[in-house]
Amino acid sequence: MSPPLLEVSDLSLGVQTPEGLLQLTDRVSFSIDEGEMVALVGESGCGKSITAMAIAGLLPDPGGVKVHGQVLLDGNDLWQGSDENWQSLRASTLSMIFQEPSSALNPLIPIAAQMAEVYSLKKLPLEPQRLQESLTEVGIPDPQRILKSYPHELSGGMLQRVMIAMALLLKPRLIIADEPTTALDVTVQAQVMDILKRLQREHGTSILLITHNLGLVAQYAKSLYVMYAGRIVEGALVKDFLHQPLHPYSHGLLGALPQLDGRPLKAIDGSVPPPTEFTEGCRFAPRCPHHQDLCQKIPPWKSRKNGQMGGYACILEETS
Amino acid sequence: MKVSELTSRRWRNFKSLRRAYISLIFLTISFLASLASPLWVNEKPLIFSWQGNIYTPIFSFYADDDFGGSFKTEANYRQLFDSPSFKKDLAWSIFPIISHDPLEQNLTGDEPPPHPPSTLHLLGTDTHGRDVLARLIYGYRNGMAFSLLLTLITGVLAIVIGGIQGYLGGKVDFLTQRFIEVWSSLPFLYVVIAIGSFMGRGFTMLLLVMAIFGWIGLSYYMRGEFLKLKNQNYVLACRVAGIGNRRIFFNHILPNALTPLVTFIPFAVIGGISSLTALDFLGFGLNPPTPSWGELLSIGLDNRFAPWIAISTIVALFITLLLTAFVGEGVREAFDPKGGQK
Amino acid sequence: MILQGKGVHCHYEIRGGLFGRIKGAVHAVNGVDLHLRDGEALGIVGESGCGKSTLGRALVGLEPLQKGEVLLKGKALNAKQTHQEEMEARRSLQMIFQDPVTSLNPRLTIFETLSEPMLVHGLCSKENARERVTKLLQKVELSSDAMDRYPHAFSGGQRQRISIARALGLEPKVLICDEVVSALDVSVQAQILQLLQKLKKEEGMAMIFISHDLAVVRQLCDRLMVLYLGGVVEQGPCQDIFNQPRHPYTRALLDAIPSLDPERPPKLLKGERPSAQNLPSGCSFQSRCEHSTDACKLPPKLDSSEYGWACHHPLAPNSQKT
Repeated sequence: MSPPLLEVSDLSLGVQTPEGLLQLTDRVSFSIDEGEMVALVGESGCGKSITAMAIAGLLPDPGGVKVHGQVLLDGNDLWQGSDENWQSLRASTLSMIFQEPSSALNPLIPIAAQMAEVYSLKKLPLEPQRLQESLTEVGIPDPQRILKSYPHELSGGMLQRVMIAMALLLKPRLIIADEPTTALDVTVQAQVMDILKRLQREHGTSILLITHNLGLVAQYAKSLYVMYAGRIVEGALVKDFLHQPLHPYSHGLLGALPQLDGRPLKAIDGSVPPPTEFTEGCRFAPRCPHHQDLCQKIPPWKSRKNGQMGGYACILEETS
Repeated sequence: MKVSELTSRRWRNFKSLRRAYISLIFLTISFLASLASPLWVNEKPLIFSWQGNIYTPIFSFYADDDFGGSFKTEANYRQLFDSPSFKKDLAWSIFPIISHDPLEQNLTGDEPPPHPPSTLHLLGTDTHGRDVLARLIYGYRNGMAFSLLLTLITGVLAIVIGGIQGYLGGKVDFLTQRFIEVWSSLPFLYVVIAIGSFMGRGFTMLLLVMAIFGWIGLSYYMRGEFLKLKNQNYVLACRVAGIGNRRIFFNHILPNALTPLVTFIPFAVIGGISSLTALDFLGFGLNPPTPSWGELLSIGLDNRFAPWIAISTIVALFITLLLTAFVGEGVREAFDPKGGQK
Repeated sequence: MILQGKGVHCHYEIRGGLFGRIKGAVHAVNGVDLHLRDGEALGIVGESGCGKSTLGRALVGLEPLQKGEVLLKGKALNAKQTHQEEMEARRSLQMIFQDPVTSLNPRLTIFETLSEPMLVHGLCSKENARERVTKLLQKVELSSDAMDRYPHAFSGGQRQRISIARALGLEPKVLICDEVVSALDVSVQAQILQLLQKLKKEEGMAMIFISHDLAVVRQLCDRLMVLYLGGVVEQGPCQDIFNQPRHPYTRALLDAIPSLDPERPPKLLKGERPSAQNLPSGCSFQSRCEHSTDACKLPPKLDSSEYGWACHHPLAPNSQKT
């Protein structure tokens, strides 16, 4: 078993506010192997986006702070060493794609120039044939036309494909995709996810998929981690998870998800607490149907039974 | 007046920038004081008792012959208070702190004006022998009042014209925009000079002339804000609910559109003071002998051997504009959407 | 029939050139007929650019119609109405928008926002306004101490509830919901959907629910209308369409949704949507359809207003169930 490509251990992140340090995530730990697609699932305010930004080296500056923890990318500690070290590490190993392709691209510069910027920013020589290659890889039939176009001339789906092509230029081993299809139509979403899956299969690229869409997770990811209010509350292989979700929040999420067969929904009462109201004990307790006094303490991490990978953070036993 | 929570939060943000808060307090107090300047910068006594009667020269007119003179014109209090016959019957008197009138020419003394600073004239006199400090204070009053009024008038005009443009859109917007383009291409300075030369150059006239040009820049912002805001969902919801145009304009859009306008006010005030000073410097502003900083600057730069004139004016101008800029910074800070809000 | 749209056409002109000449037009809505009965919920679905939002706004009068008309309780809604008639129409037809952040005036308290429509229509007086607003807040499951607070104190889901309460204040007969849950998290979305289901039952309101999310529409709607490039491609009872889509686009839409069953991967729809400026003649879907033939060069007609599809080669009724 080779070591994981990305290993996040006990990562706690926060932001500096006028009132002091506000902690946003609490001891987040997960790992991604070579060629694997892992999903980080959660709703707004759970901390998945800032975790992704921290791994990509994009913590808000000023304000974003690593309180604790470690991220190892290919065995290298991302916070050790100089900024330059980090830059060159990230350049060849890691790439990121974002939710809104139209705001990630400069509207005044043609696509070809923006793609070329990737090279100049990392101080590497431009490889022009690579621009065309990566556009073809993402399924664009006429790369020459696209290279000459401006962002506003292209549709949302096309732009997202261009973003993926840009992310591929330096042949990264890990792509972080932060809600890559949320702003896209469902038919376009299928096309874009298909590209990501193909990359994974053909090039062994690992993908960290940040999403709130459990359908995408079920179809494309191998394993998933569920986040709630800054913590990971469950981690498992997707097939095990779908068969038997163990954390009450996971249950709640699946029950609240509208399905095409029209089965009635079970809403979760209440709402996600804001970071200023995070507690030491289980943060889901106020909304949990199995809420008990013991939940005031930090929930223990229990491993899944029957040799299954992963675990969940709850005092309840697996049979419930 | 009910203050919304949004406004009180902005006020707190403003106060958090110390220099802005202190500047605002200082400017307010000094402006109010300057408005009351006849009470404390005046060559007439505030109040005195003579021959058993109380006289208040600042509020009432007393003729020369009231005090034993032979003229029916206003008594010359300096001469009076110097003459022994008058002083014989004087019980007590209270003079303003700075007992000089900005228009009064002091041609006494051994040397011709301009006189350097002395105990009599704290900042010296100008070439006509007028007290510089008195002229600075009255000039401050005139300049600040002019600028505040100008800002008020241009602000109202900008809101009305820009707001109607933005809200109604279509032909109204199109035609008004063309009119504005023509209007704004008129050379402002020439028009001011031209109108000034045949309509006279009083305070009010100058104010009106500058106001009819000054609203243009602000109206662009208001037009933009109204165009943007009229498509906000809450405005659409009002339209769907059948709420009329006038109510939407005044109750919903206008309060939200004023935000950029408020951030402009301090800088508009700076602009107003600067414009007036520039016009006065060139001699096209307020009529002499009205006290004004521009005129003082002009005299000062013509008489560099009397540096106290120019230096005191420049320092006063610098401090005023700097403090106003601090207030502007504070207002920007107060309205910053990132500061203090979620 | 409480609401009807007949031959609704909305298009935007594109101006360009030196003198702002009209260069072309974006045909957002192309001849759509719709009808809604009392107490019924109609879903309008489609992807971006299909015209569903424009259609919703046209029904409410926020968008001008180039052709066609909208009838409320049989009376046409147009500019020739008297003020009285317009106000009455406004009371019956209300709309809720997608973005919870811009749906409420940030400078007004919740009480002011909720009481304004009622006061303007004379449905309550200044004295009993607070009482009425409390009742409205109860209907949307919010406590009355929300009244004196400002929008920024509330979450997205709560703000949508407030927007719903504002619409309910006028006691409308028809509520048009334009992507009202699309900006919300899954767990909050479920709460709002349950609220809408409850209101539909208790208030007996007719609803038009516009969304790009078919699973959400399934929860709420009795009938469904699928739009593509400004035209209706299929319409009918919700359950029937989900179980047996007849139009290839409806099928493609359903197939593209990633389901929770890993055994059923999404199917890709080839090609790109043509631009709404240059609508192809004939069937608008032919460039992407697997079954298209020469016959598709003629525009297909929607054969029935109750349950029909606009296709020359509709899918057979016993193709895979959803």
